[in-house]
Amino acid sequence: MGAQTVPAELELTSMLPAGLFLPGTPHPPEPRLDAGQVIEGAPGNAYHLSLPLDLAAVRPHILEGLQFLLNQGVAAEDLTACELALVEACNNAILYSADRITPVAIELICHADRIDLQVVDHTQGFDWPAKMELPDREVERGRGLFLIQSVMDEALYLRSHRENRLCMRKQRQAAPARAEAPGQEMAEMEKQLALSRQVLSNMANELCAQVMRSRVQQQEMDDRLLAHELEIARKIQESLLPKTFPPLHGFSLSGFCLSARQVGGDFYDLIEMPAGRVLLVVADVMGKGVPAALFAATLRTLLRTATQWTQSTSELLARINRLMYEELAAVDMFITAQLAIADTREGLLQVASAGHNPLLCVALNGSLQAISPEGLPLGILPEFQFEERTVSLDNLGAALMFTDGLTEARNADGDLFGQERLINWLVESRRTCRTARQLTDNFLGELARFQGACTPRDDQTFLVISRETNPCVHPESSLVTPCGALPA
Amino acid sequence: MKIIQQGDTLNVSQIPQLGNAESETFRSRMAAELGTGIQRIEIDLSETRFLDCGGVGALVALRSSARRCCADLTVQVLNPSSQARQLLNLTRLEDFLAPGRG
Repeated sequence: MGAQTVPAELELTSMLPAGLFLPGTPHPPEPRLDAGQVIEGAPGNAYHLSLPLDLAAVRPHILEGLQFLLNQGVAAEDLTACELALVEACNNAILYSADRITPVAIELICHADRIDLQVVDHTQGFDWPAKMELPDREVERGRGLFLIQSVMDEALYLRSHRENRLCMRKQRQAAPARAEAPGQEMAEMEKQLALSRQVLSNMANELCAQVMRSRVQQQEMDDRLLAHELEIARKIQESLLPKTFPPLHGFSLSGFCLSARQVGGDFYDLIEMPAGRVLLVVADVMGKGVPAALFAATLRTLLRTATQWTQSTSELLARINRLMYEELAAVDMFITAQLAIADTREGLLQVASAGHNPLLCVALNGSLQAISPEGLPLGILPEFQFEERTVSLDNLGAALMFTDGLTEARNADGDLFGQERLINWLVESRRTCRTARQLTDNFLGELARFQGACTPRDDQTFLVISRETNPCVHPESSLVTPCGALPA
Repeated sequence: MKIIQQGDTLNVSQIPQLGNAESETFRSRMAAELGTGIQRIEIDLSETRFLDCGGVGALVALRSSARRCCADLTVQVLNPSSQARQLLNLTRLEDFLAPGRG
């Protein structure tokens, strides 16, 4: 039997995906075209389809797009590859649609040398696997992406906040010979190239705008999330400050803590100890923000635990320094802290410092003493002996423990508030303020007046001890009057 | 889709396409045939002009269900069309679903 000659047209038709027909050949009525449209400015080169979220609609719509590609002269083998890739992409887009409403957008762009396919989905998106692998043979799902990558030359999945875009590219097989004269063919190619360039340019611009929009939206979302988390952190940190102060016979206590950011590294604490003693703490973790806040919370917890082991301020600092040294040194951070144990039964104030500002004490006669026991900040040396100083409470009018955010506060001219101004304020205001709370309010007013509209650049924290009912001494007049009798 | 039982063999043929859209129907119709005493299921894909990942998944699921139903029950794909064969090749399931067939 001789070899049968199959007409080229018939042979091509048999290779086409089912449902496609060569231009000019008899075929059933064409698929509904109202869903598809040739993109303006690129007649015959780009085609857009809107696919409803219905699996049964996938193939008819894709056949419609493939008919467009066929009309562009795309080879049957390429059409089969495009069909499979589009079906897999669209199935995924429908099966995993997040809103179950927005149709899947399909774009087919036919170039002289390649076909670009894009499927825009509204799913949660996914990370395109770095290495595509088939699942085990018994597994039912998970082959779609592998198939897409197998039949396409390139595939790129662009995720964004609003939508995702799967871009697929297939290099075209050699186009069948055309009947046109070489000159006409060249002119047609140039025309198509120009159109392709225009379409690509439009697409690139649109894609660029989409990426920018997506980045801005993502950034806004991240910012909102971060602000929310920082607000929670601020509330947690705020809740760690003592809400009630332990009683300290004959004295009132008041504290203030302001973070330059939402969370900070400053804090104060008051811890009740046996025999009516009270541990007063003011600490400043180097730096600001979340890292400083984490160390501040750790220090606070350790202090509250360590008071069960020792009643000595220098020993407390030494133990905590040993406990925190490795963590602080690992991130090159340190903490300055001042500890004071007030013992009203013995009438003593025991003070130790880890590289912190001095404790300012105003005596009843108005004289000032700056107590500054030697000590390195926590986290500098693992083994360090801290000095301990003891002050009599008998003649104490008021004492101030503070962080450097107070002395380093600046006004609009850039002047520092400074320690001298702080000392002057303490000595002066001690005359008129009866309680620690009044001293606090008075100082905040002073600081506000000094800073003006300048926002604090550092955390500001202080703790005030004030003798409660003893008469105040006015050095200038040497007049002793009850504080309550003084003008406000 | 045409389903004929000949002795202990179930012949399934005339499947023009087996994609994601058709896979549910295929699964349910096949599930109805399991447990009826058949020992062999032959899926003729000679007329299947389109097979996709969902269709392949349905065939894999049928094979698993058949094994669970009866250890001796075999499922075999016969005469896959060129498109179906290409897909079985790409997914490396030709020997798994259509052993001994080209």
